[in-house]
Amino acid sequence: MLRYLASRAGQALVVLWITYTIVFVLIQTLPSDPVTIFLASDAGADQELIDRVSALYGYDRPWFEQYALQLGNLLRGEFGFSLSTGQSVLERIGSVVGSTLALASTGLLLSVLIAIGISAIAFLVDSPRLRAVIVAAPSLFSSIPVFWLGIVVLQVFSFQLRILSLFPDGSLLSLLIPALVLAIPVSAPIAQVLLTGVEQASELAFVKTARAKGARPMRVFWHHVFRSSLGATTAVIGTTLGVLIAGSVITETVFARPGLGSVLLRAVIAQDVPLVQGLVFLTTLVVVVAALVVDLITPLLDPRVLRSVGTRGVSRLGA
Amino acid sequence: MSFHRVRTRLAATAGAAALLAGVLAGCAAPAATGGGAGDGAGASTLSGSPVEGGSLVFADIELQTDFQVQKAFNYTQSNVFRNIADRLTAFDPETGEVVPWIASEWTVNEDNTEFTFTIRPDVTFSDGTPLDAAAVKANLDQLGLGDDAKKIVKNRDFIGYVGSEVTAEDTVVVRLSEPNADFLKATAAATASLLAPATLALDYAGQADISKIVASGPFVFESQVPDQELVFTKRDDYAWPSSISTNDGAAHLDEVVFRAIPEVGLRVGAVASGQADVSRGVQPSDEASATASGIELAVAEAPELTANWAAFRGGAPVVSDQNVRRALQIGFDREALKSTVLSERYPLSGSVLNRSAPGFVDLSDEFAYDADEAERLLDEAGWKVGSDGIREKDGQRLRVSIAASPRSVVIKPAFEFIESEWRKIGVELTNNAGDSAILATALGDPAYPIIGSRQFYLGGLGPLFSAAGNTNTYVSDDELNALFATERAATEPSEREAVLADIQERLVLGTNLLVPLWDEVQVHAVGKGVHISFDGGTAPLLQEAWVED
Amino acid sequence: MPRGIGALPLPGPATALSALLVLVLVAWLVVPGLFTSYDPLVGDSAEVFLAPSVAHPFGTDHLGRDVLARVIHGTTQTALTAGLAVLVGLALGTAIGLASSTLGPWADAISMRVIDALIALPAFMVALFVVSAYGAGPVSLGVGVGIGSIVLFARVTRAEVLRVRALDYVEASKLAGAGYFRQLFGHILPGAAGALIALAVVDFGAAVLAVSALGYLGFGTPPPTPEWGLIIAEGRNYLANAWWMTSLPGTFVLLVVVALGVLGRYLGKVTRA
Repeated sequence: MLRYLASRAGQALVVLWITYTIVFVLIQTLPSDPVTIFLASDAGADQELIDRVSALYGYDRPWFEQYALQLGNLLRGEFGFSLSTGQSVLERIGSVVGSTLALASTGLLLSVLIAIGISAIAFLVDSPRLRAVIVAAPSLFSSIPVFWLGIVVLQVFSFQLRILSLFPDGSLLSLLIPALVLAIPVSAPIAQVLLTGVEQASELAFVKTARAKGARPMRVFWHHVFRSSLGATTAVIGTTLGVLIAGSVITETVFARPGLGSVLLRAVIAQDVPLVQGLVFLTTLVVVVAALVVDLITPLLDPRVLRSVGTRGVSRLGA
Repeated sequence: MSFHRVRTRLAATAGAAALLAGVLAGCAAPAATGGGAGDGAGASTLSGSPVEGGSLVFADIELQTDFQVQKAFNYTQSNVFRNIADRLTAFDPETGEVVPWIASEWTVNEDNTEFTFTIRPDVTFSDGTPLDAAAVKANLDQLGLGDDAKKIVKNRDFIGYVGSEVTAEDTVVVRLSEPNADFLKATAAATASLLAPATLALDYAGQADISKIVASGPFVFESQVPDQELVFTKRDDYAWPSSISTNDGAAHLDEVVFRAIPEVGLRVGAVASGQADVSRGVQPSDEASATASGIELAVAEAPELTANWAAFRGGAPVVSDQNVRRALQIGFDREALKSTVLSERYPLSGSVLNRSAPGFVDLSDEFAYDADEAERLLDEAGWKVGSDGIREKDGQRLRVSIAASPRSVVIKPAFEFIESEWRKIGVELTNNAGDSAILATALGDPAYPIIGSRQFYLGGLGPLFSAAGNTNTYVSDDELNALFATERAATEPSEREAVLADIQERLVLGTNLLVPLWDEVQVHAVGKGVHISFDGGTAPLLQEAWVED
Repeated sequence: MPRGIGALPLPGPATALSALLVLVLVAWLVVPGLFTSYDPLVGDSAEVFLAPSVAHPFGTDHLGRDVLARVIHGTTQTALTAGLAVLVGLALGTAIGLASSTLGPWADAISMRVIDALIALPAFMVALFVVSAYGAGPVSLGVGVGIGSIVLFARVTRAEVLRVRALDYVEASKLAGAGYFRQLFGHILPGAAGALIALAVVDFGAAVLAVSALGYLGFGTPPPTPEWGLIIAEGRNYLANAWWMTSLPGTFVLLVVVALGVLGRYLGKVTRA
């Protein structure tokens, strides 16, 4: 177990390094260097200023030096300073990350509940037609644009019913409703895994026997169906984190919630490369650590599960 | 509705205000009589007697994170600065004159190179330090010279700033290396807001942080939730508003809250459902539903800003040909533009300046819609209609693109309409209005053909369109530069007005570098019982505002 | 691939309807002018914000353009952008998947880490960054969005290749030396193609939605070119007074995405059977 742990942690480090490299290559291929792009819109900027700021951020050095320099900085936990505000990248991200984490974790929780709900109903319903409708729900969920859903929800709950504040007011509802909007597309791949599990389990002899013996259907669902899909479900949740992040960016924008979404958008618009780099790297770090945790607990939940699940989640951008 | 009626009432009832007006009359503009070009400028819903107390929620279209004062070119920044900081002078939207604020009076030498300001006594910053001549000098120096060590750039309007000198306890003398009559107006801009010495001592990041900004305005920073809300509370001992304020003391409101509604379609609903008192950036298509649900639309005119225009980059491919520029200028139906994507609240502009601006000359007859003439000009320039209706020359399509800020609610649809009009004369337009990233690169790229914008210009049109730092046209036109220099050196108002007319004519007709579009206005949804007015830069004047219970 | 209820690869009514819809789309792509008489670019100022009617089934927009005409003519741009995204994902994903599954344990270990990195990399952030840096256009949108689907194709390719190799006819000959490419293109890729095509079909729908999401954030195909994602994204500004501008094209795209999903699953089943 210890060896497994060490090897997985090693793999995680390699993954982080590759991600850093991909992002570095992307930035190097930009039409011009970050400082020039950033300062171009500033009437007061002359070449001298551009050169000075470039030197300050190290963008005037050859690419391999930049590569090593920035990697070293990241390893020491130094994420540099935002070009647009001069604020430390960590400080900028730290000031809003809590809000995004609250939204994303609530959204994830809700999406799991929705997925369980759908699969439970599919298991319990007798009518094949009704079941066909329920089974179609996930693909429908992943086809609804999040921003459209969000705006409709605001029109209804905030303007018509007036029970939801347009501005996040810290109430439970102002967290739950955006989280629900976010959860809809995220729930799709999870529900699909669970539905497959339901389908397979329904065919199993002991499940059939249990049902025939008149065991309470919900009990059969929990004990036999859900439990056997638990490992696969956990694994697929690991791969929905990307959808979760994309969905969060859009949900935060629609609901005007502070968070990584608005920071990212502004950073991207201002071409604030250090900030974008920091955001991408930190997000990757979170995903890698989460995946590591999932990998470590999956064998505990279901020893049969190997790392081959999760090729089905196509709603990757949470659009 | 207008300022002066309210002001008259106040002057009659409030002795202090009358006294103040009397003291200041020596150098201030005469009390407004409504004769200025900007009659009715600055929408106002101030009527009835003010109610003390309460809170007002102002929903802007976004919240800024950068409040470094030199860079407060955006509405979202100036809307905040107008209410937390004071300035040496103020711009009177009705008369177009510069009027006293922290400077109670001033003199200018003959060649517009030396400005002597008398600083109002007993003004303090919210941290208790005095806003005296020394503090003013510290502010002007940082604005005029920048501070390399702190990564703070110069204020672009402070042309030729050499330095300031405190010559008496209440007197500051500013010296410029070249004449600049517009310097006085530059001190009335949001980008010249006065800050406490403690704030000036901070580096860029510190000065950009709203929670660290200490100033002398009617409201003081209370709290913020980053990217979500900014809360300011009233300063009880505030007693130094500009001479045109209808309230000479502390604000009526206890608290103002700035929030943001980035979604255009939600702005009216926010006010209709009572979740915001005022909401900026109502799009024309929502105006009808707003008035139908009993919401007042306050249209803030903007004599402190230019009109909306499209600026050609003189050196860019295709539009470097003046015939093409002229053809595009007259090649779309402005009346149809207004009836399709604008509304009656958007006056079509007649120049680079708004109709309410001092010195405006109406050139609209000179660039009236004439599709035939436009086609003739394009033919003459060698652009022949191709198989799909788009013109071609030497195998190249007649294609241009426009970049503009996403902050205007009408510019993108307007260019969608103009695109369909230009198509009729054989011109293809790629409409990048609304894409901030493209705008950012386009601003720095002289080869990008067209920029759509409107800008604060209290520092004069020179900084916007002359050689140095001109990201609008990237053209250094000798004749224009000579006019700008003459304007800065002009001492007589009539002389300045004449030069300003020449400048407008040169920009719009002489060089065809600008396509005037519509006058800049900001349409606000204002809830029932909310009384608010706006300055000449469309910033809300919250010191004068109140909310009925 | 998920197996639907009932394992028979006979097309059901849902599959037939989906295929029909895709055929209509292909027709729109080839001869859009046959399906609408309205100009998708130039509107009629007298007909702005008209509610859906017989003349304008999807209503008209803020410039008086027929929304359905824009959807029909928008098929081209949509197919270009989303198609490119799928292509990028398919090409790079397949390459990584093949390297991982056919070039030995070291290549497998490296490829798997690259795949892990691509999973961890927030694809949407990358897409945003690419599109904002290069300006929104079919190429930047396609590549930006396509990067996000590399992982899916890589994993499916790997799994499929491992499955195909386990089959007798491939097992019979070893993958080595000069025979590698013959083996690859002769046996392995054809065996994996079914699953990849099925995934590509489904991914196309996801790409349309991703482009729409980018359009919502302000990074869409610049007007006037009609493109589905942007039609939906831009229409949302008028949701309160012209609900049809975003909702009808949105519902249509939803149907297309669902149809592509149905077709994709069917193709998956057929090729496995």
